[in-house]
Parts: sequence; structure tokens; C-alpha cells
Amino acid sequence: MSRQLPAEDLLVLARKRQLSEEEERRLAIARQSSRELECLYRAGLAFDAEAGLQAGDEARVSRLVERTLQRIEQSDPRAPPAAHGALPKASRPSGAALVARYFAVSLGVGIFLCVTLASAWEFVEKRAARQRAEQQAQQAQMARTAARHRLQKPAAPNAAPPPLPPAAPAATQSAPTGASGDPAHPAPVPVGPARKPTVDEPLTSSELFARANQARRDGDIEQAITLYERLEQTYPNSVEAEDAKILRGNLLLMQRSPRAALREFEGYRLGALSLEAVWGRAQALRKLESPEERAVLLELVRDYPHSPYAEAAKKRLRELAR
Amino acid sequence: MIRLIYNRDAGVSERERDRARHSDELADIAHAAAAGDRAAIHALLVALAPHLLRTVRSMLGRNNPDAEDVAQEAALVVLGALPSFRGESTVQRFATRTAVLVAMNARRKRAASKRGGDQAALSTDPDELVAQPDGPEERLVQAQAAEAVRALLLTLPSAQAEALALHCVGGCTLAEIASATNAPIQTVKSRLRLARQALRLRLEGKPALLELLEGEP
Repeated sequence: MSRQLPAEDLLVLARKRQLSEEEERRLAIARQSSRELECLYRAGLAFDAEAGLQAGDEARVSRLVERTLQRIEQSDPRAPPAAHGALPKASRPSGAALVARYFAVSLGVGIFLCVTLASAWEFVEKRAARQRAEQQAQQAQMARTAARHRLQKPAAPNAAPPPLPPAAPAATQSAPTGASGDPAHPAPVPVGPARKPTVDEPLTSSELFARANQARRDGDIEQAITLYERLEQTYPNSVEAEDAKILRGNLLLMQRSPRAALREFEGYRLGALSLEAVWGRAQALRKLESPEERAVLLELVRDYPHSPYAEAAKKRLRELAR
Repeated sequence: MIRLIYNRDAGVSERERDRARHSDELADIAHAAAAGDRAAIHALLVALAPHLLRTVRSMLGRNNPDAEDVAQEAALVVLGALPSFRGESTVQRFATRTAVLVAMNARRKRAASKRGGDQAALSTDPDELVAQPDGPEERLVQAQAAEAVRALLLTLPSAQAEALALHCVGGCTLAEIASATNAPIQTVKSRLRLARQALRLRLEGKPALLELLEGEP
């Protein structure tokens, strides 16, 4: 049975040539999917080479031993090295230091829990907002389809009224709220040309981000994608532009453009949404039926073992193994 | 000044300590050296000096003229810290950790004083490149990757830098780093993960190296 070693240990054992074939394969996948791992591997090889023997090392080692002994003799010939005043000693914490450490750790844990809870809450809210946006988008789509059908039918002067809510066709053009008052048929969200001119207005990065988010929540996916793209192009170094990559990537995935989505996720630098970026990459690669999906899922499970996506990633890995 | 801090609560059991002590042929010599036995100190220095020199050389760069001085400083620190060495790891691993910390400290000092001492580490002898069995191109990539890691070590928080140096320079596994630093293995994993993230960011600013890394090994 093969060992399930983490990538770090695989790197070390590879340098010592102690990997099985299966482990070598795993390491190759990990190196391909992570540039920093590749860098560490190559650096390790360089360090191993530099640690090798050089001409004159024997003399250097002898000199080193002699000089160290001389230094010890010079300071106090009778004292053991531990009493050497110039040498740093290992410190053991006193009682007061332990209490201080206890409080510091408690404070740290408290802050960590607060941050974790806040992040979890934000995540849940985002999830709910996304679901709402998807529902609204579906409803808007249904309303548009129904309106198109109505327009295609020839109007019969004495025909019965259509089964659709009367406000639906008008709402898709201009009215923001439903006139029907029927809870089973909520008014479609305002979409279409009325909102498009906002794209050309000069806006700050925060305003652009807010508008794009609003468009996304309203189910206007095209508009949201355009605004996120504009944000990334206009303010490429802003914090909002980084987050926009993840949001735009998700929308592109919904729009069945996995290659473009993958570019967005891969372009995301380190930040609060790193986990989402990795998960997004895995989703995009799955849609593209790429073999790299497995490596990315492994990266997610390894780097974020307690994240909400880890279970889904493990499940997908099991599917891929079949 | 470097301080080797031992965390008594970090959870290395007595049994594991005993096992490490019995499997470590230098443990008895180290014990005697800690008590001030001159012959034991000499024997320990003879055993550890090549290892200390190699580790320091890796950390500073092959041609760094200060390697011997820094190795000597590391040897003195090892001897000074022996009385508080409780056998959580082997003596050699303990010496590796000490050499890594002393060398990192030396590099930081030299970088701060801007004396150009690190230039020796940056220079790569073309003859050495050609003489490598991997070929000059591969050797160049490796040298640049090593330099990127060395530069990163200067900027990382000390715990992360120590874990990365022990892993990448010292060739230690996660378990070995955990025992050498007396830290839980999950903590070591976390430190290495953060160090890798920092390396990823650093690499993004080095497109030439990235291109070389993406080439065939």
C-alpha cells in the first residue's frame, strides 16, 4: 500500500531519490499544477548541490573545529560551553510569562473566532444573494420568453386574455414592479436598454463594483459581466478588481464560457477569495474536461481541508478515481 | 541575537524523546559536552562541523566568503544551547536548525547593513554551471530558484522562514521540522503553506524565472 505523503514530503524524498513510481507520478502532477512547488523543488536541488563537498573542505572543517575550541578556551577554560557568556541560551518561560502567553493566546483565539464567524456569515449571505439572483434571472428569462410568445401570436379581437400576468411584457421594458400583484408571478427585474447607458459613465472602482453587483443580483448577467470587465480594465490594481475576477468567473461559468472563466480564476492573486478561486478553477476545468481538474481538487483539499468546498472536492475526486 | 526557544507544551512525549535519544549516536556525546567534558566537545565539533559548514553554505550561497565564520558562530551557538537541548530531535537536526537560524540572521544583518555581502551568493560561476551533470541551463534555473528562496527567507516572518529553510535547504520532512522546532505538525504545515503563498507572489514579479520554471526540467 502506497504512503499518502503531502507534497512537501514528496519533494524532500524526491531529492533523496526515495519515491515509488506512484509517488513520482503524484509529485509530477503537483509540480505541474503549482509553480512555487516547482521552484522549491529546483531550489532544493541547487541547495543539495551546494551542500556537496568542495576542494579544501577538509582543511576548512579542521580550521573550524580548532577556532571554535580556541574561542571556548579564551573565554573561560574551566567553564562548560553552557556558561559561556557570549552564547545565547535556550530560554524557558517564567510563571508571569506563561500567564501573559495564556492571555495572548486566548485573545488570539477570540479574534480568530470572531473573524471566522464573520467570514462564515459573509459567505452564507453571498450564497443566499447568489441564489436570489439566479432565481430572479430565471424568472426574468421566463417572463421574456412568455412575452416573445405573446408577440408572435396574432391578436384576436375577441380572444380571451393570455394566461400570462398582464404586467409581464411591460415590466421587461420599463416598469420595475409588477402590476399584477400575483405572488405566484412576481414582477420581472428591470433589464434591457434602460440600464445600459450607465456603462459609459465615469465611475470610481467602488461605484463600478456596486453597480456590477447590483446587476448580478438583478439577474442581468450580461450587464454584470460587462461592468466587472470594465472595472478590471479601468482599475486593474484595485481591491474590487481582484474580487471582480472571482465574481465574473462565476458568471462566465454560468454562461458556459469555462475557458474565459478559468482565465479569471487563474488571474486572481492572493486574497480573501483564494479558496473560491481554486474551487472556480476546478469547476472550469471540469467543464473543459481537463485532466488538470484532479490536481486542482487535490490542491484545494490539501490547502483548505476544513473549507465548505473540501467535501465536494473529495466527492469529485472519488468520481474521477472510478 | 538568536534565541532558541523551547516550548514545553508542544507535545513531544517522553517515549518519543527516549526513542530519538537511543537512535541518535551523538546523543551521549552531546550530553557529556553539555556537562563540560572537553573531549566530548571536541568529538561533537568534529562530527558536526562538516554538517554545519554545508548547511551554512547552502543558506548563504556556495561562494560566500563568510560561510566559515558563520559556521563557527553556529557551532558556538549549538554548544551554548546544549544544556537546554532535551532530545526532541536528533543532535544533527538540532544543529541543522541552529545553523539555519544563525545563517538567516547573518544574511539579514548583511542585507540591512548593505555591505554587499550577499552579492557572493548571487554570483554564479559559469564554469561551475557548465560542469554540472544536469546541464548549464537546468543548473541556471536551479540557481535562480535557490536565490529566489534565499531572498524570500529574508522577508518572511521568522517562524515561516525557519520552516521553509529547514524544508528546502535542510531537506527535512514535515515530521522532522515539527520535531526540530518542537511545534505541532499542523502548525508546520500552515507555516509552509503561508511561505509558499509568499513565494507564489514573489514569483509573479519574476516572469523570466517563471518562464524558465515552466520549461522542461
